[in-house]
Amino acid sequence: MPIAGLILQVIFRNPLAGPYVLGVSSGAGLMLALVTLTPLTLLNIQTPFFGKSIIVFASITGSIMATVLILLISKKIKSNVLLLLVGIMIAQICGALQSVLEFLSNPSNLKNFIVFNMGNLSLCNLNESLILLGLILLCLIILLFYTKTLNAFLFGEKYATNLGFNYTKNRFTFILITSIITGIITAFCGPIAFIGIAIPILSRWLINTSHQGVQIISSAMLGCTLLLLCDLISHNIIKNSLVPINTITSIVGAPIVITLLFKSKTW
Amino acid sequence: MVNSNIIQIIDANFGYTKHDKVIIKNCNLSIPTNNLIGLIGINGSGKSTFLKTLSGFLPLISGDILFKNKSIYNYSIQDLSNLISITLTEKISGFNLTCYDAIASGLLKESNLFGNLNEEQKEKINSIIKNLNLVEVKDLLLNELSDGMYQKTMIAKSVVQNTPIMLLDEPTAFLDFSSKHELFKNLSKIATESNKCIIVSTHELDFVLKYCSLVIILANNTLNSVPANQVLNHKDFIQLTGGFL
Repeated sequence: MPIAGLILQVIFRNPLAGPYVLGVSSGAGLMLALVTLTPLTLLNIQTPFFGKSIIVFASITGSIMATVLILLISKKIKSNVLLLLVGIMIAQICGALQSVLEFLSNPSNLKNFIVFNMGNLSLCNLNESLILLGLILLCLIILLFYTKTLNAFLFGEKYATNLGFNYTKNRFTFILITSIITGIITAFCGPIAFIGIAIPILSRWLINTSHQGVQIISSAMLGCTLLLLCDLISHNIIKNSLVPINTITSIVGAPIVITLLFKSKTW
Repeated sequence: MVNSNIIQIIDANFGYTKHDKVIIKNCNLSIPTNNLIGLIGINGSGKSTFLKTLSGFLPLISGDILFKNKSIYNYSIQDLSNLISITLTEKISGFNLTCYDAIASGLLKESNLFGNLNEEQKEKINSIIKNLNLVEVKDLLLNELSDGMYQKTMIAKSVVQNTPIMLLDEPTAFLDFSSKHELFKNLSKIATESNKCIIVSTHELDFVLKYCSLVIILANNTLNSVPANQVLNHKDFIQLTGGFL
């Protein structure tokens, strides 16, 4: 998630971009709701492997659809602030549609879905975790080969083009990869809030370099550490009960973002 | 036809196809290398459109532009980046970008897979930083630089990119008098010493007269190029200055 956030922040040249804020996570969530809550597909989902593949696929489709929508709109409007607002609106629409689906579905499905939606690391067993790890590592390695292009993107569309990098083509690749990452993670652990936006900011503040290869790795490691910490808190804060991890990441993440934005001379 | 002019513009209409808006009409122009060229005109006369089209961001409505006798449409993004470097009015900052990062970005496409430069390239960058007196500020973040230093940084980036053509869009805006002076002095030095064609859009007519060898005047949707020593008598120049100069 922090990697997805990092890439989106570079593309939009805005520290406030992130999969959760831009509606990418919501897109994935909506598709998941569509798959898990509607009676049509319920049967398939019960089968262990096939069901999971459908969920992963749906979630990736959802996140890609949301990102493509944002991209299409971003061609019309130049202002990043407007784009963020649009992202938030997309998130709202997805959320609303999701509520409709929730409202119409039967209670037992609903409870599962709501719990899932609060984010939960223990949703996946060891095997699933390994698959997740493999997929994410793959995306990470691909991205490391794009370090140079990401560095060029820091200077904006015109400079990047003038430095010899095809902006439109590479932007498409980046969006695709971030959507896949967001989709996979949402499918396995539910939409995890705030990690995507807070960690890259934290990483840039801690590690003072504009080299995006370094930032990708440090974001990934910081993200793991912080998320596990949040998970630990979520398991132990109330005895014999599990507090949804999204509440913890938001409570920890939001103040981090606010403090860092105030503290750093540059975002 | 072999020609020593690095840029040739043939029957070109500049503007925006989408709104059917022609900004510069029927332009024919040959620009030789080894020159510092001033691009002048009132606000909205098409200076930015002209530079945007030359840098390949905006297609021509009709006609053609030849760089080294080859049409702009036959250049790939990669090839264009070896031919033209740009300095924009928009200010870039954030993401921990330092003055050095910005200058080094000129060599980014020649760096290794992970964006690292070799010793020889680093040395080249450092010597350019020294030449332009940026040593003291090279580790500052871009938004900590003064406007003058920022412009110099972006010019250093263009020099590092080492292209035969350099385009600068209003680099003197926001600069104080001595910074403007220094900037033009540096540019004319670069043009003559490294045999480059540098086009600067600006409102600083006095500096254009002092430092540029050729002046391109944009007025009434037409483009005229005049040698700097004859420009004072040109009707468009007189119109531009309102007869005050």
